[in-house]
Amino acid sequence: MKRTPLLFLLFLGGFLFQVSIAALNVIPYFCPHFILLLTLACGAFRGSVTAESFGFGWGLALDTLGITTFGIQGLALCWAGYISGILSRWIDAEEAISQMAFALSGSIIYFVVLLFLEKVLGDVGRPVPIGSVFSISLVNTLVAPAVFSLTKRCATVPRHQLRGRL
Amino acid sequence: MNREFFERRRAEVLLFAYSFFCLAALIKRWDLWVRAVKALVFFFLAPSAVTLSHLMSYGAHLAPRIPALANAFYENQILRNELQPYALLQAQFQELRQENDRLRDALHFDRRRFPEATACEVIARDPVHWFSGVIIDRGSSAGFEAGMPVIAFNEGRMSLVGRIEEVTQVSAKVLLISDSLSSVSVAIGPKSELAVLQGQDSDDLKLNFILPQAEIQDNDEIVTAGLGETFPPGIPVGRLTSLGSQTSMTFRQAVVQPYAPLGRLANVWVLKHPRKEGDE
Repeated sequence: MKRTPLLFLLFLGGFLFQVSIAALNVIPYFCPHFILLLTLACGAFRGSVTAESFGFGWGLALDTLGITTFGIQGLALCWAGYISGILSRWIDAEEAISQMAFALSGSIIYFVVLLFLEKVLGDVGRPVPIGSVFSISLVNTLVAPAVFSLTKRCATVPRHQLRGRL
Repeated sequence: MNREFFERRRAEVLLFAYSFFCLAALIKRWDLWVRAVKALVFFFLAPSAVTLSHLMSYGAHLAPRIPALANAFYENQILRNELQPYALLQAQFQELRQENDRLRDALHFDRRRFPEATACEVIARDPVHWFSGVIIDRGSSAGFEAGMPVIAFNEGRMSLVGRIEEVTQVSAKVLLISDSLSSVSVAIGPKSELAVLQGQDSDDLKLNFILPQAEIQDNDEIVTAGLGETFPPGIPVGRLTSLGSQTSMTFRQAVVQPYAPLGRLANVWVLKHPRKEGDE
């Protein structure tokens, strides 16, 4: 319970940070998807419930302010959080190499699913540069240890309390 | 039973709920309730996002200037270091220029007229009455006595400054002609009309006791008249700048602008009295 304000800050700060980074737009297609990384990290350290809830909230926020159809990123991030929470049982998210592998695979799967959902359920005809999927995944991989470390400080719960949340 | 199931499967239940909501919103995206939810989310998020976006855009414009600022800072440091020797040169230049001025004045000085004149430096001023007096760096050891006239040069022109009032062995106090206690008999213009020049503790001097019929006009030169033994005749003092109307039945007044910069004297000359026979 003591971590509730930190979690709230993490939720709000994560969203605002993503908006800030997007506004800067320094190098197009090489901007990390912090929201996705935070969702994966929440799943790894906090469990599925928090991760999917945060993913759902962040996703709807991104859909509202972005160009994606309302609900698509909410759905994709929600599932990313859930799967991340499930996988945290078998993956040691404390190690940087695991975090990077987690971020790389998670990013690629996330973007593929997102493209699929956009194609099937979203507005048809919006071109998506495939190269950006890989470039963003690569950048996500590089910054993953920092994001996981931050999330660990804000959202870690003892292992025995995680059982009910997975 | 239901509560226990929900506790055990909370993640899946929530996932189902979220997914159902998202799928419903995607499929029915033109329905009113979807647009209402979207508008609600937008209502809460837009202000912070837009403000932040503006701030970041401003920051992005500012960011390229930071390296330029850092460069300017380092350039400034380098230029300061380069300029340090020039500050020293500038000080040397000032000193040499002052010395040059002193030498130039000495060159123009009429030694035949004042054979025993001695150059001195002003070392102090009266801190309260700025125009009253100055202290010079020579005194009785240089042969100075009270009452000796003091002159200065400004732009090559000789001008009366005052007279020695007090003497110590190594310094002397000069009473300036701008002091209100100072009075000098002077001659005005080509006709050498007589008057008395008095100080008024300011830059300007007051000319008193001008006869009403005196033929004088603005811009006339004022020189010492030589009445009395203090000031030799013919030393220029200044120029008449403002001839006043007649203020009394007998005399007129005028204002004189001295040639010497009495407020910023640096070097002066003391004119020793010519030795009289029997002084030895």
